[in-house]
Amino acid sequence: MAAFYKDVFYHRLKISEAFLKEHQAVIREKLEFAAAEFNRVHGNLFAINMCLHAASSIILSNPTYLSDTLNLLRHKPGLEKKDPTTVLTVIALYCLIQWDSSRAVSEKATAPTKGEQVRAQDYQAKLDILRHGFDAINWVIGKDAMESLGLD
Amino acid sequence: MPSGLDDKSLRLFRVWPSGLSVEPFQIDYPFGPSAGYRILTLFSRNTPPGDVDYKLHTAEFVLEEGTAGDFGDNLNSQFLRIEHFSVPARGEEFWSPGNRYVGVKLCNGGVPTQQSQIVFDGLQVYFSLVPRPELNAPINYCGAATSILHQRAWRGGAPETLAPVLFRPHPPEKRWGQLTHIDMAAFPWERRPYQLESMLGQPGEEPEYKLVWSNTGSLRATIALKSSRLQVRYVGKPFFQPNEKALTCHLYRIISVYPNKEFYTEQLILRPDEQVGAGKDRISLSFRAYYCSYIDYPEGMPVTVARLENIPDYFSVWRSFAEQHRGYAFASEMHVRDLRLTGSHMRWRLERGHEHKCIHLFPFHGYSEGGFDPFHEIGHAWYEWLFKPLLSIPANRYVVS
Repeated sequence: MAAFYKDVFYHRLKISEAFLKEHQAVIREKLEFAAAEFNRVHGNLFAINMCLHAASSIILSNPTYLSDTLNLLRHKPGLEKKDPTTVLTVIALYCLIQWDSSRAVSEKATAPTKGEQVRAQDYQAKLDILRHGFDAINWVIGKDAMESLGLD
Repeated sequence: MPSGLDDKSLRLFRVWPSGLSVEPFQIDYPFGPSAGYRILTLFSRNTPPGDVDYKLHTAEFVLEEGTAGDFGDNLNSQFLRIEHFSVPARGEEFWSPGNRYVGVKLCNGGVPTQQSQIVFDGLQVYFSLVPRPELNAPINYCGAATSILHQRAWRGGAPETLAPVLFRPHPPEKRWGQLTHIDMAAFPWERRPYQLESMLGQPGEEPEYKLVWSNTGSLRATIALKSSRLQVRYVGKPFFQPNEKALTCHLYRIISVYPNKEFYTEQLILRPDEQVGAGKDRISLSFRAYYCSYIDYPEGMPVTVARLENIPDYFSVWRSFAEQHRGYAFASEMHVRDLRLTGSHMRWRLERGHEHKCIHLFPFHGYSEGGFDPFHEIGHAWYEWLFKPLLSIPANRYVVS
């Protein structure tokens, strides 16, 4: 059985693989830039805002099931006191990082040149910076909410 | 004061108990350089608070007259810039009064060329002066702000305030603060309806604005847009002169940005071409202005409208998602009426007034910026800039020493 957050993102909100592929270049550009911001002095707030904006844009570009999904989160035990738009955005961000990370893994495995292999590896390292950055602030929503969603 | 005196031949001093200090100022000609009407703008720093009824003055300034070219050391602000577009997508800093321009861009926050550069607070606002910048444009954009780049939001990934959601194509309708109509009422004792004038015209007869003033000074960047001709029937009898006259008028929109402020100010004046009698005065006309905007958000996006019916001079519309709050706010000296939100469309109108002073604000609160209050910023701006602003009162109109 898929983790709750994955179910929300892929099955409730119905974000398709095709949609993510269509916008993969912009997604990567935003995540890559946010990772660079995390390393800059006083840049972490910009990085967090940039990630939240990219993730919320994914949601708001697919608004058909938005209100149903927000209602689901509103009534999910452990999340009642959380802002459902923030919870949903964190889910989207977590899934985006996961999705682009596995894309980077397969890029590295199939890269025809050493240079492209290194680039894919560098990008994986940047995604790790993002993960660690958000881990440090318990993904904005707090530890309990993370557990309710099934986030590691 | 002689009309020949300008910012090259005048110098401004602040009077302190300990002496005088030279202060920056600028002079603008909102009806065009040759119209003989000027606005002097100065910055009064560290001004002690005064009485709410303005009965005591708290700061004093003196203008010194020199000869042409004596002064003129008012440096331009590093944050202010105006770009003039004779054709779309090619802006020039130089403004030539006789030229036809299709658009004008006001910037007040410095312009980073890369996303990694330091960003100062501010906006870049592009106004379309023509109805169809491209031949196949589906919307009449005349006088609308068609793009508002918000520099802080840009650092957070969303520069375009009018369509901030990534992965959605920008809709052609997106625009802010477009004047669609004005109307002029007859005097209360006249038996005729108000006169409604479209500022957008009809298909095939779409008017455009002329850029009659553009100045990047030390304190603000100001432009003045002049509408095409409007014919207004004025009936003064039995109490005023002239008894009856068809006036040829133009609507002037004086738009300014100030360094690092996330708003622009606008003043609307309906000015007849004809002077009254031998004097320089013109008939002052009151009118109502109708605004329209389109901010692109998907349906279902939470919206909060901050408006107090007992202070109907301002409102703000907030779009909040995931601890990011984007505001679209408007305040005026006149009451704002008939605010309508239908999806992404917004419409409102101003009550009757002679010189409408307005502020268009675009506040933004990102993650972890505490203290978000949907009313505070717009209410504060309204109070400081429109309701109880600093007032300057001429002590001596003109003294030749």
